[in-house]
Amino acid sequence: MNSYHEVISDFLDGESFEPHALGLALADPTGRDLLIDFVVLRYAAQAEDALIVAAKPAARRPPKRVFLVAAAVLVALIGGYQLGQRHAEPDSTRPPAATRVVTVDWHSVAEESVK
Amino acid sequence: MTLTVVLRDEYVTSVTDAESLFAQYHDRLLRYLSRAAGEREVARDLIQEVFLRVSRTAIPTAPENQLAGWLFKIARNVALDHHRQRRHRPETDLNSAPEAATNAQQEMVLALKQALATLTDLDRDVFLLRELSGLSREEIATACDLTPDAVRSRLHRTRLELRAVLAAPIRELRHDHIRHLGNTRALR
Repeated sequence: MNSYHEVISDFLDGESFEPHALGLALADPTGRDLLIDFVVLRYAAQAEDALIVAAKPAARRPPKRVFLVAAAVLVALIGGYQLGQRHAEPDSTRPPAATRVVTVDWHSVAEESVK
Repeated sequence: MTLTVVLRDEYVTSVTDAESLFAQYHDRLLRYLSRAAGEREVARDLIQEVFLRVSRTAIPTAPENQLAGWLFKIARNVALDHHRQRRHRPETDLNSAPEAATNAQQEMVLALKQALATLTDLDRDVFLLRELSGLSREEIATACDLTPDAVRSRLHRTRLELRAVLAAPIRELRHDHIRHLGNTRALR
């Protein structure tokens, strides 16, 4: 194993490494290329997983579901409106409910009218 | 209530230990098992099997890095058992790549899939445990019954092999924009 490769691998794997040796390795164009290529490999190993995860919400929510939710909301709104209307309409067979109750002593009223 | 049973001096098992350990590594296990099984849905079944085995086994009282290796060793065994039952290698779709990727990214992902399929099970596992699941060399050593030095040389050799095989797509991708993947926390 090339010494450049060793220190670059150690660095990439989060293991202990000699900074001076890494500096020398990265001063060499082949060492820099190696580091970049290893990073690209790492990216590719993770890319599929990350992209699938990123794409999942769209895949999980088909357009049909959006229409179903919209329809449910519409039905709820219309139903609620009609229910409200039904309760708001006055019933013609019943007298209107009293809004103020006035108590009158009819005996005293009758006596006053006799006088 | 937590039931803790001391089996031997060096072993302790408890239900909550198993659950917390499992929760801590769930995502990384799922990534590894998805790739090992070739399908995410199968991986979800396998991860349940891992949890069952973990909850039935004495969890070693050890530093976290050894626990991770121990857990992935169980996961690896579960994946191997799954392959044995199916009597063939994982049915990875070698011709599919994520649609969201650019051409260079798709090409690289496909090429890597094909290249990984040509590796030995052990080399592939060592590579994926490092690059996909972010295990340290010591953890991989525990998971794969290797020494850390053997992991180091095997991992490096595999990288060099893949680099040689994938020279063209790597070159293409080096001129492409590499997006932040969002799961770099898995790598240490």
